[in-house]
Amino acid sequence: MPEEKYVPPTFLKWASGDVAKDYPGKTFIISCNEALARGAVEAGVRVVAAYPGSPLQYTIESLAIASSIYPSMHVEWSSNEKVAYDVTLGAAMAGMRAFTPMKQLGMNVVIDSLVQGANLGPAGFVLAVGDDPGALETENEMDTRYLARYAEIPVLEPTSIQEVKDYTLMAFELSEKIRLPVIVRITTGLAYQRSPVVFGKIHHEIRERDVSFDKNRRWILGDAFPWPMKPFGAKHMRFHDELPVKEWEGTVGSLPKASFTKEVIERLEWNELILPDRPVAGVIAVGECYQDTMEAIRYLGVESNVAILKLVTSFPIPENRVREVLKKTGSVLVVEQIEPFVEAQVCAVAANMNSHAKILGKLTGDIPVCNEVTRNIIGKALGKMLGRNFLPEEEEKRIEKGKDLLLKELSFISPPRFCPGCPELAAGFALKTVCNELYGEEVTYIGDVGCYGMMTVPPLNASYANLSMGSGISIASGIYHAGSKDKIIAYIGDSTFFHSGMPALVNAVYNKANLLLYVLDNRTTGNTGHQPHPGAFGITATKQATKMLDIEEIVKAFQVDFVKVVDPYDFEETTTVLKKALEVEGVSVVIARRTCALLAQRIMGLMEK
Amino acid sequence: MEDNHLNLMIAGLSGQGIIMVERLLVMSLAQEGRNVLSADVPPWTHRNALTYCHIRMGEKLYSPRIPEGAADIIIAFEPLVGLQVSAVYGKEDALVIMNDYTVETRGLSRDGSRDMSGLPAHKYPDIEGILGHMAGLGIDKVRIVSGTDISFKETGSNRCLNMVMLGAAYSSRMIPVEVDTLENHILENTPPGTGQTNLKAFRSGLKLAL
Ligand SMILES: Cc1ncc(C[n+]2csc(CCOP(=O)(O)OP(=O)(O)O)c2C)c(N)n1
Ligand code: SF4
Repeated sequence: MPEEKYVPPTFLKWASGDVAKDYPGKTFIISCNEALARGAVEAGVRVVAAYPGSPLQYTIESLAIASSIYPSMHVEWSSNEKVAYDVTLGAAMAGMRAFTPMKQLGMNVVIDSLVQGANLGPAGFVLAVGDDPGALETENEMDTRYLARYAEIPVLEPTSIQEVKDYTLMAFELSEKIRLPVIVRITTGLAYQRSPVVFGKIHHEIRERDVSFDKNRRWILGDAFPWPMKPFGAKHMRFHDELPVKEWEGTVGSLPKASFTKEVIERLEWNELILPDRPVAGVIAVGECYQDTMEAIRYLGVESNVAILKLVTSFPIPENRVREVLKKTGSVLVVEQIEPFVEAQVCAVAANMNSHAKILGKLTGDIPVCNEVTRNIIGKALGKMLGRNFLPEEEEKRIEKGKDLLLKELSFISPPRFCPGCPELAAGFALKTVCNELYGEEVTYIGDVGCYGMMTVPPLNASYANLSMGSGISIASGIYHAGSKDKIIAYIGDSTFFHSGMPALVNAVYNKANLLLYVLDNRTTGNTGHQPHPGAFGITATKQATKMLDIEEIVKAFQVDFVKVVDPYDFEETTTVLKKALEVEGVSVVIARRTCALLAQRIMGLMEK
Repeated sequence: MEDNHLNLMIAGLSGQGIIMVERLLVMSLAQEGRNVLSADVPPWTHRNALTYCHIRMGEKLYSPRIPEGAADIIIAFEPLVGLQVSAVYGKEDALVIMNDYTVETRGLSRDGSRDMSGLPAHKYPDIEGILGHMAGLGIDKVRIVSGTDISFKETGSNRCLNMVMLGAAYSSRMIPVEVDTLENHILENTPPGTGQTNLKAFRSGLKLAL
């Protein structure tokens, strides 16, 4: 055989579109977001929709470039995650492969359509969800796998960037086979890795196939079943093999049953099992945790005498493989990010087979539930199983001392604040000045989600609460209806306004709330890296010109009692208008409009991206 | 270094060009046939937030993430960032290459009045204090570089700080890659039109011969 010449992997040239081109067999160093995009492109994805949210917002940027190469591909920033989900579900119903990446909080927004959409049995439909162990860059550490389980749809957790690419592609095939949406779960630690990835073939023929929306299929939740069968219950029955299949051929009956999904998952090679003859311990390492588990095992030098199950399908789990591990070892450590989700399933398997193996992990306190699971944490738990130390005691103390130093002596270093020149900071300052003068302490400010969340911290201290996107207006209304005598202010950003602020504002007007809505219109989705939205510059995700919706016109149509646009850089104008607005009974709206300072610099070309 | 591994961390504030250095190093190491992985830490949108990246090289790698207390080399673009990152990731005896220019942000300013966003600030700790904290953690091989000054002097702006720091770090001879490989990537894989300036900045860092 001729010796193969070493071809070093290279980075993709930025914005070159290489991520979407035909390079079968070529190796590129790509990021996780690019790998998700590449997997979808190789699968022949036709429709992609998403609302921005870390850590997966960059996937759309790569796919937007792809769509400029393959014009039949539609890529959009949607107004919120549920809209994005419904758009992609529609495309899947029309016979095209469809993809929607979202952050973990997005799952909360799509949950209604997610649960019911699974019942419809769509095919070729993949979601990517970014979970955030340790809440490193979001407001909440939540484990979306429970929501997947609630919706009864499978979850894949790739263990490397190569697998992110490969399993995103294969998730589409899996979804077609089992007729369910499939979720690819990415955790923050994986989401920002880069590594060499071998590209595969792009299925252009799938992307270019004809639309095939089956009008005879009855894409509804109820079916015309005769009494006493319940029309709406039938779809759920398929998830539990309880549907009398034969009678319902052509409807839900023809959709694959749960037992089939389990069988398919059981047969997948992805869940690799390494089983030495006499293992001293067993480990089940899920998704991203596989990496650091292997690092810990290597560090301990026990590679050849530990049973290792690399688990990619965290729901449902491949029970036979888990049984094999349980049979061979006296104790098994389950390593996963956030909640003991797989661990609980492993416990159930063990109970059913009367296994006496000890199952260790988060339920036993060997690994903490909160914060990222890292090599040292895994190593400590493994060391305990094997009856030895992982790191020398002194080293552990030294590391603790370092962290103590940061927490105790350097706590004055603040988290990010408003960027220099931020228009939202200027707007907040004007409002605070006016309110201090007019009402003193008798003001209640309620925030929402965006850069202006930083109003909650000193020195502005001009926001007392923020919760989920679009909730500020309604929380403020609730405080008013509860009888507060304070002047009530609600903030909202422009992207948040389109995401979920509009129904809340309609409600406030209709139900006669008395508040000032302060719209921080910086013409972009600032906090997540400046994505466009329906009210920003009239431009789509793929840089096509489109209509631009004006928040002022919209709120006028909602019949608010006062509306005016101001430039927050103009302190005089802003304070004068605010004073007027605050006198109005009912719902008044002041729109502080000026482009985000970072975006403005970027537009002017003063800064590299 | 644990069995032929090199754990290298680059830390600074968002906007200082950290990812560019990561890319150049990873490309150069990969080109010479090294097994290399990297990861950035969640980049914040906002200016001047703490940000860093992990680069790991070695025969058998599973994770690109440097474990706590295990970084062999830390390139810090700002003093307090250097302390923060060293305190979590620095190995005992780690080599730290640290820029001495303090950025008045994150609620800090040199005179303790206001930071760059105009918000009230805490006084920036002095360099001796920072070095003392690091020595207390067994990290006393700290090489201080006037990277921002050099960048200004050589290129007229602070935008090439990243290249100066890369040059300074390279001059420590701990990064196992040929200088030609690295310089070629600087010429070819920095933004169009900036190659020569970046190379100049890199070489001025190199001259420090740490
Ligand atoms: C359901 C949900 N989706 C996405 C996010 C991520 N997110 C946080 S802030 C933000 C931007 C909001 O933009 P905008 O309202 O315009 O405010 P700005 O950041 O521009 O001030 C987004 C999308 C989230 N927190 N929750
Ligand atoms: S990103 Fe823009 S809106 Fe957000 S704090 Fe910075 S300047 Fe302000």
